Amino acid sequence: MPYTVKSLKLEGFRGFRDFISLDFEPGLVILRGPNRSGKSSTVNAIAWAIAGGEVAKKDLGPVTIRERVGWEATNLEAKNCKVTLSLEGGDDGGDLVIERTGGRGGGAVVMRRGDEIHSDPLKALGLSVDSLVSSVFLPQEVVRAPVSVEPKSRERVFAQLAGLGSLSALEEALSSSSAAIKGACREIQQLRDVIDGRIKAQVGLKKADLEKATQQAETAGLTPSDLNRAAAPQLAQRTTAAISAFCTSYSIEVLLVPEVTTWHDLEGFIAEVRSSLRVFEAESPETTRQSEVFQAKSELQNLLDEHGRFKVKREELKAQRVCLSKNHGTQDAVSERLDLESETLDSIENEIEQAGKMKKMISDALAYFESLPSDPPLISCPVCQTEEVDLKHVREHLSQEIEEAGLQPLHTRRDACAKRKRELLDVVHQYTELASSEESLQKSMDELRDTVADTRGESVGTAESVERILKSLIGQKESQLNDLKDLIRKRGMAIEQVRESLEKADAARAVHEASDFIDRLDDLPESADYRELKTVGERADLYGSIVRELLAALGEERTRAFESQFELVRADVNDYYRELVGRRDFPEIWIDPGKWEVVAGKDGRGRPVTTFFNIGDLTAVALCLFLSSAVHAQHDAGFVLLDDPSQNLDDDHEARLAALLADLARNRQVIVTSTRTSFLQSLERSGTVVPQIIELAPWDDSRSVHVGRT
Amino acid sequence: MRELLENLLRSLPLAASEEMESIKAELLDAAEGGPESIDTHFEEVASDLVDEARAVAERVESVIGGA
Repeated sequence: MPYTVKSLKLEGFRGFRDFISLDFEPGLVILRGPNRSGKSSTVNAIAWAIAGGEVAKKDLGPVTIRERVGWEATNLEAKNCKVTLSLEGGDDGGDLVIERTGGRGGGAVVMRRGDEIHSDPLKALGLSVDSLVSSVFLPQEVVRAPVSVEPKSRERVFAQLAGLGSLSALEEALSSSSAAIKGACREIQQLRDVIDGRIKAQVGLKKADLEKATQQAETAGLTPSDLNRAAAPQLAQRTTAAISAFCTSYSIEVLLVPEVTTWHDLEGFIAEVRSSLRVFEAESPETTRQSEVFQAKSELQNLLDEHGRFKVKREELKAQRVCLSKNHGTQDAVSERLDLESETLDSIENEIEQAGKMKKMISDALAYFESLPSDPPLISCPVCQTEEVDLKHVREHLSQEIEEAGLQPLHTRRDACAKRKRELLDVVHQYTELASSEESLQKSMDELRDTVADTRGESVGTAESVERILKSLIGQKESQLNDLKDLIRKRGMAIEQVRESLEKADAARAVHEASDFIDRLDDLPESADYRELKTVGERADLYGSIVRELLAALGEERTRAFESQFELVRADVNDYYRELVGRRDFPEIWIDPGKWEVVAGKDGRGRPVTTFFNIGDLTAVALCLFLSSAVHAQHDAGFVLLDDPSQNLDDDHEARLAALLADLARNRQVIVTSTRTSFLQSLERSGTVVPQIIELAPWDDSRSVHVGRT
Repeated sequence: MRELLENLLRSLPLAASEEMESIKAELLDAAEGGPESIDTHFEEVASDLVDEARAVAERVESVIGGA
């Protein structure tokens, strides 16, 4: 015999802070009271005692879960939370007591006659989470869900009420998981494709490099055997021998080069030898000597050029002296003439002075006689021979005569003499300057001679030609330069021989490097990393296969569950629905097993109810699914809990629901809550059973409970 | 949920292997937390696999680039 609720003891559960005990009778039980009086908490406490945290878990279904996230069982002011549910019935007639405590360390115990018989009340009642939420407990959130959530969620609620909630939830989770795994598989495959593409591209590039390197190696004169990787030490040895020969030839300390045992060593070897060759080229002693000789030759050439300039200068001075001599006589003759002209000039100057003095004396004497108080005598003019002329006349004539006949010719002579003297002075000056230039030139030439003597390392005899000495020295330097040039050319050729040997080794290295790269890329698919990438991809594929297979198995399970569960209740669902909506001719409703949709129509053709049913109709569908499942349930829970089931129903629907529940209460316990007076009155008036009324007071009042039966 | 998943896994026609058994055990552990936990588990698996593949791919790329 199925179990019914006998009593419920609450302490610290949700709004029930203090201990409260409720006794239930079989048949119809109505929990009545205003909002926040604990009606829903009471039916939730029964569900919590049976399923514990499961009622707040997703296993109950998407709607219940989301509304119950963070749902707190324990009263905030209470220290402990404890619910004791006593059930009566069972095949052996013994009451079943379920005790569940909340908080940390909480759990459930199922006892019969004081003995613990189970730790899972759900199993003790032959229930599963699916059957609990489809046929025992109808929370108000589920009643509300078909009209308050999106169409997809409505379908989930219908699946839940059909007992297929877990399948639906798992299918949804696996579908989402499948997308995530597919994305991962795709991304990993892309990574692999990119790598394969890069390998292919790199191999292509390196094959071209290899072809080019091989051609260069052949051009360099390498034979196929030289291009054998094992021949790398021999190639290096040839270069080393060339370097040794070079070093020995030029008395250089023999270069120590890295040892080459495999072709991989060639790169370091080549770099080292190249670096040394650059040093050999830059630090050649012949080149240094060539630079020194060239510098010495340049200096000698400068001396020779300077000597040439001195010679020209000397010729110029010589010509200048000849010209002066020719035009003015020798320097001594000019000096003598200058002395003579100076004496003449002094003499003329003296004569002019004497004449001037005489003129003044005559003038002064005549002026004296004119100044006498007596009349001056008239005399004959000595100049013009005129008789009896006054003194003034004589004075004027004498002055004029002295001026014209005496002073003027003297002045003319003096000027001519002064001019000649100036000209001679100028010549003397030219001779002086010429002598100075000749002296300076001679000094320079003597210095040049000393420099040449120093350069030659031997004094220059007076009979020797500086020019010839310089030309001889320059010739010697030119000869040295030619010798050095030849040496440098030979050294360059020797270095070039080393370089050629080195380039051969480098050409072989390039061939080995390209072929090695290709070998390594060819081997890459066998590498641990590449295989690991493949393994990761295979693991992702395995996850994908499992999810795909799980989804396929779920599809089959859904069909099976549909056939074993919904098909059993299909007729009752439609009977309940027609009864509830009051239309016996209403089209059939059923669940489409392929799409999880509740469909309404005729002859197997219909439309999803979520697309055209109104709020009341959708609520009615939910209620009918639950009631049908409850009627056909095979578990040991002989009671149903309905929390405010008449919400969204009009008065007629509400009255018909009351009649259905009253009818259901004839062979099982129906515990129902509602705030709607009309619904409660309908239940009370249903007539088929006498309901038990449990009247609850609001939270803020005393926790009085009135229990009665009308 | 674990029971349902366990039954489904048992019915899968996939060849048994150590790795397969390991994956099944992971899934059953995840199922203890409900469907969302399964979803989260697969998302983490997908993310971990991609991260692992990227890390390995980087190593392979370095061989290609440095070969």
